[in-house]
Amino acid sequence: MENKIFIADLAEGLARRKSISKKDAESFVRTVFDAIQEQLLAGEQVKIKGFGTFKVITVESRESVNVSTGERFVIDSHGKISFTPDKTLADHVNKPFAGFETVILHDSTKTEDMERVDEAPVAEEPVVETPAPEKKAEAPAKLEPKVEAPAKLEPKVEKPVEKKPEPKVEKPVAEVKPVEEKKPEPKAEPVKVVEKPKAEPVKPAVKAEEPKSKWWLWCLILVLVIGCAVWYMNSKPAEQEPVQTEEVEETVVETPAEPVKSAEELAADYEQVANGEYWIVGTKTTHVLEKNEDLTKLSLQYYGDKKLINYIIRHNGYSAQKASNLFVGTEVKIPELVKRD
Amino acid sequence: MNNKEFIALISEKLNMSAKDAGAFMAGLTTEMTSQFEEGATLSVSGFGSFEVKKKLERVLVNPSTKQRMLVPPKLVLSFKPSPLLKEKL
Repeated sequence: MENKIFIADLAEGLARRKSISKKDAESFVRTVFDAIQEQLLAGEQVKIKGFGTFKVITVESRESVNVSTGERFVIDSHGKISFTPDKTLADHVNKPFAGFETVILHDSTKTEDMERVDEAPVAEEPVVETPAPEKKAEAPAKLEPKVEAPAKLEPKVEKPVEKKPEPKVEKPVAEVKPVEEKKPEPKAEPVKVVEKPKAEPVKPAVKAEEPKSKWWLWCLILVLVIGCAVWYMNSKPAEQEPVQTEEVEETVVETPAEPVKSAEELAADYEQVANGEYWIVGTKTTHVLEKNEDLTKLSLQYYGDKKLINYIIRHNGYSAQKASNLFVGTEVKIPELVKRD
Repeated sequence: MNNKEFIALISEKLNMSAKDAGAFMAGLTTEMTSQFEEGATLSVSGFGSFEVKKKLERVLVNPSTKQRMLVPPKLVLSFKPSPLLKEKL
């Protein structure tokens, strides 16, 4: 935000908009600010449509302490200028963040949950995206990312194992190579093996691992099969409606990854409570508020739990302030709730 | 003093019709709005400066219901009067 503007720049813009001379525009702008100042000094409040309200607030005199000397002294009563931007101006300024709303946090929501939720979609996205661009590529190419993913989880374990499945499995080349180089080493230079039996107990271990490696081979195959199955299941919906699935992912950003279910699909049509226990899947009924009734009571009446008031508020799109100030006779939509998995 | 009175004052000062003054005023506010939208800082010498500031998101607790709410981040326009103006008050 380095762009600093002055009266002259404002006048230029105004001159362009209203096709008047720059000089006139500048004198106009100056007059405006002078007039505001003049009125403020006269103790008036100035309200300008589309801009905001300037006010002079008097601050009561109060006692304070001089930080360096510790002396007590009195700050005299003085005026303070307050500026409240007009609603339209405030909205315009806030445009980049206009999409955000105040979210009522559920009691069960912890801050750690929020951190975890932030990570979840990130981990999810590459999975969603990979099948899409590589759909037309060959099958082995698609399997690759899956093979590498488990490899990262157990990098040490899988290295020795992957030498053997290598001909069958595709080409996780990068990981296999270092292993292959290790093996020829002890054979080519037996001297070294003799030299370092005490220093590096790793090399004898290579031989000892051979019976083990069969076990790991089976594990790898199992992981691969699961990986393939997961990929296949993920790619199926993606092939049918790749655009739509992504949209669903985005709207439900705050919910952890879940296979798309009917309740969730229904829920996509409604505003949801973030991190809640239930999906809002429709409107059960509408309730006309009577005297001495409020949303907490409705929640208790319809769900037997006053905590679920959040869902009613969300479903009706009330702000927190409005929710506590509803008039008698207001029609309140009672949402149909389905427990989330 | 409301908008109408203010425009009347301006028109009187500049010897122009109230209608013109109103139109210019509207032009000025739209100009300022578009500038602030881009995050510009306006400083008027002898009056003060207007700056767009970012307020971070925060968790708010309703003291009576203990309900926690996450207030999203937002951009607000703030005004800081110049020392000159402060002195005059």
